[in-house]
Formats: sequence, C-alpha cells, structure tokens
Amino acid sequence: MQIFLRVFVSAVGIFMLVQFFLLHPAVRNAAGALNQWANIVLAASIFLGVLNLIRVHTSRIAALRKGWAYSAITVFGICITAGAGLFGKTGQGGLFQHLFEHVIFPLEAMTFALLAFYIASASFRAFRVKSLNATVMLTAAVIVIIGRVPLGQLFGQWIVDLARFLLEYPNAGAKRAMTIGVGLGAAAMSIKVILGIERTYLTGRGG
Amino acid sequence: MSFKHGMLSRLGLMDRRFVHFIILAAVTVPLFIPLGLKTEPTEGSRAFFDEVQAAAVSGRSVIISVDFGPDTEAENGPMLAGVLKHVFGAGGRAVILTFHATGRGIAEKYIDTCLRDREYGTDYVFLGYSPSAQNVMLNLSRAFSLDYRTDARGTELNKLDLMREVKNYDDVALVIDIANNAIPRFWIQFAVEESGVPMVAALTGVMAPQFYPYLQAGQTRAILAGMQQAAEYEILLQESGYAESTSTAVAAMDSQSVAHGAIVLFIILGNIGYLASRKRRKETGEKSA
Repeated sequence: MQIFLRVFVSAVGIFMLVQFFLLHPAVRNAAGALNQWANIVLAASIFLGVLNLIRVHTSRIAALRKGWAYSAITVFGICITAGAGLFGKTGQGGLFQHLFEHVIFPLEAMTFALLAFYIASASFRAFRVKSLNATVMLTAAVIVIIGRVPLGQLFGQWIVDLARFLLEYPNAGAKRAMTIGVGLGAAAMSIKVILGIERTYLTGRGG
Repeated sequence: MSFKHGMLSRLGLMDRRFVHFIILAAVTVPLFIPLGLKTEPTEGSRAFFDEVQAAAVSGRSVIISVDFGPDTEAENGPMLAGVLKHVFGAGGRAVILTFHATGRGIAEKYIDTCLRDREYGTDYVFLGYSPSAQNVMLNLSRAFSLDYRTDARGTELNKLDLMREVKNYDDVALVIDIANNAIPRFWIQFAVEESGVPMVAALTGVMAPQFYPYLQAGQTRAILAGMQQAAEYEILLQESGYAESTSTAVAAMDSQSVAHGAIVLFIILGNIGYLASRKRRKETGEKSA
C-alpha cells in the first residue's frame, strides 16, 4: 500500500511539473482539476486547524491550567466570529463586518503600531559602529531612512538619489542572488519529494 | 576628559521609556501641527499611475487583489483608496478579490466607502477570499468560474454582467496587487509568467525592496513603495482630477518624516554613547595596567 502511495504521489508530482510545458487542452484540464482538488484539501485543512485550536484551548479550560482565562476568551471569540459568519450577513451592516471593523481591526492595528516604538528602541540599542561591516550597514540604513521621506529633500537631492541607488542596485543585486539560491534549493527539495527520496509525508520521518 | 566621556557614555544607556515618548511625540505632533514638507511625484509613482491609467481606459477590466490586513492598513489603505478612485474615475471596471485572511473585511470597508455610486455587478464584482493563491491564479488563466462559483455575496457568476464579459486573464488589462506579504510574487510566478497578464504592485515600505529585481526584469510593470509613494500617487490623482484633494498618505508624511528623523537621531546618540564608553573603558584599562 505504501509503495502504491509513493508511486501515486510521484506520478502526480511529475505530472504537475511536466504540465507547465505542455499546452494540450487535455493536460491543462487535468492540471486544472488537480488544482481545484488542492483548493478543497486546503479549505478542509483550515477547518481542521480551527477544530484543533478549539480542542487545545477547551482542554486547557477544563484542566484550569495557567492562562485558562485567555483560552476561554479565544474559544468565545472563535464561536462568536464563526457564528456571525455562518448564520449572519457577512457584508456591510452585518455582525461579522462589525466584529471585523470594531474588534479585529483596532486590535491588529494597535499591535502593529507598537512596532514603531520597538523599532526606535532597537535601532537605538543595536545599530552600533562595532566593526567596518556594521558601520557600512548603519550608514546605508541612515541614508535610506532619511532619503525615503520628504525630510531627505532638506539635505539635498543627493541623499534621495543615493537612497534610490542603494535600493535599486546593491539591494536588488543581493536580493536577486538570494532568490536564485532559494529557488535552486526549493527545486532540489521538490525533486527529492517527487521522487520519494524525502518522504516524511508517508513515514513520519525523513529519508 | 574622562568626566566628559562618562557623561557622553550615559547617552548609550538612555531609558527606553524616554525613547518611546519621543517617538510618540514625533508621530502625533505633526498630525496636529503640519510642517508642510514638500512631496514631489517620482519616476516610480508616475509609472504606477500611467499603468493604472492605461488599463482603466482600455475598455477591459482590471483585477484588484486586496492582500493586506488591518496591521498595515495605515500604509496600504491610502493605496487601495487611490487605486479605486483612479480606476473608477477613469471609467474602468474591476474584479476585486483577496488572498489574505483578513483582506475580505478590508475590501468590504473600502468598497462601502469608495464605490457607493458604482453599480455592483456591472462596474465591479467582489469575489471574496480564497485560501489557495497559487492554485487560483493558475486556474484564472482558464476561467474565473473554476474556483469562484459565486461572488462574495453568494450570487452565481453567470448572473453578473461583468463576469459574463470577464472569463479569464485574456479579458483582464492589468492585475493591481496591494499587499503587505509575498502574494505579489505568486502573481508574478503563476499569472504574469504563465499567462502574460501585466501586473503592478502597491507594497509596504518593508516589502518593496524585495520586489526591485522583479521590477528590473519587467515582471512587474511598476511598484508603489510605501507611504512616501502612496503620497506621491495621491498628488498625481489630485493633479489629474481624479481626487478633489490629497488624502491620508500626504497628511501622514510629516509624521513619518519626523519619526524617521527621531530614529536617526537616536542612532547617532546611541553611537556617541557607545564610542565614549569604549574610549572610557580603554582609558580606565590603561590606567589600571
């Protein structure tokens, strides 16, 4: 059975790889159908994730473990939001959109806004001219921080142009190199999975 | 000499609450007392404007992908509002969708605010959230109906006038992705490269540097990077008559400028303190030796 599964997974993987290069309608239709199945599996996995979250938190509440009150708030939030989405109106004027705009929205925005303070504090403590490399990085960071806002114009157009140069050339070059490296690594890993060399999805362990 | 170094070295030990207070003041005070720092449209924002303009007047629809949540709404929100004003002001039509879990609420909010005078189903359609960006993007090259049987309101696609005309990427003039994450990369991989549909991206300042290689390769036609270029885009919209006045991005630029200045000042002060303490340690070490 396991051998059959390995062959099946490999065959599907090879087919999905090859279909990128084949324009025959039958191949494209089959690939499209598999993509739709993947969507269904993904949607089901979200449902499983929610169930798992509820299981973890309800067991914590039942055992009155430390932080059980936070778990209770989490489960309450899930039930209310899911209920509003499943049984109520989801567009403007509905409870779901009200929850989004008046609960989720301010909470997420507030959490992210705190980053401004942490970034300021971290840059004050971490950006130090400890070595040549650190000094180069610090100088580049200061030029980009100033050159990407109207404040930079007060120092002259040169700082704006220099910030742009740093982003478009050294930054883009380094990013391109990383992207190619990651791409090659992902391709190698994918081939290992497709050929069954890396089969944690079947055995629960690598190799 | 060592007394001076002692005083300077204390700069490096500044209380973080003081740092937080200064940042709070730097962000909030310019909102109430504008400094009037000038923002000029640059090549990048002009390229973005031109691409959206050409698509909106082309007679074909655009896809607007709302791929951000409330966390970066301050930065991405003005971009989305600007794009909606621009596309519909120029007589364009749009299919709006999202691959971000909280993007649906954001899209609903902006549709309600910006598109009240537009007719749903004819001028625009909202397809809602889909969790599998890559698969959906691949399938859209064949047909929207493969992954979207209904729109976000539960109406079947074939009952919507716009969706009877827009079958797949062939009927789309441009994909406009407003994002704070890697979704634009998926658009490039699975839509631009697979089907040749052109794309532009409006990104947070943090994400934008990662997309310059794609811009230089022509895989994305233009990038609107961060609040600065969102402000530039607002100015272009005002100059072109698509907006009566500039909006939140321009208003926020003074705040952002002063906050950036404060951060640079703290970096300088921190380094003065660090160098002074290093010199002091050296002197003390020499004396003890």
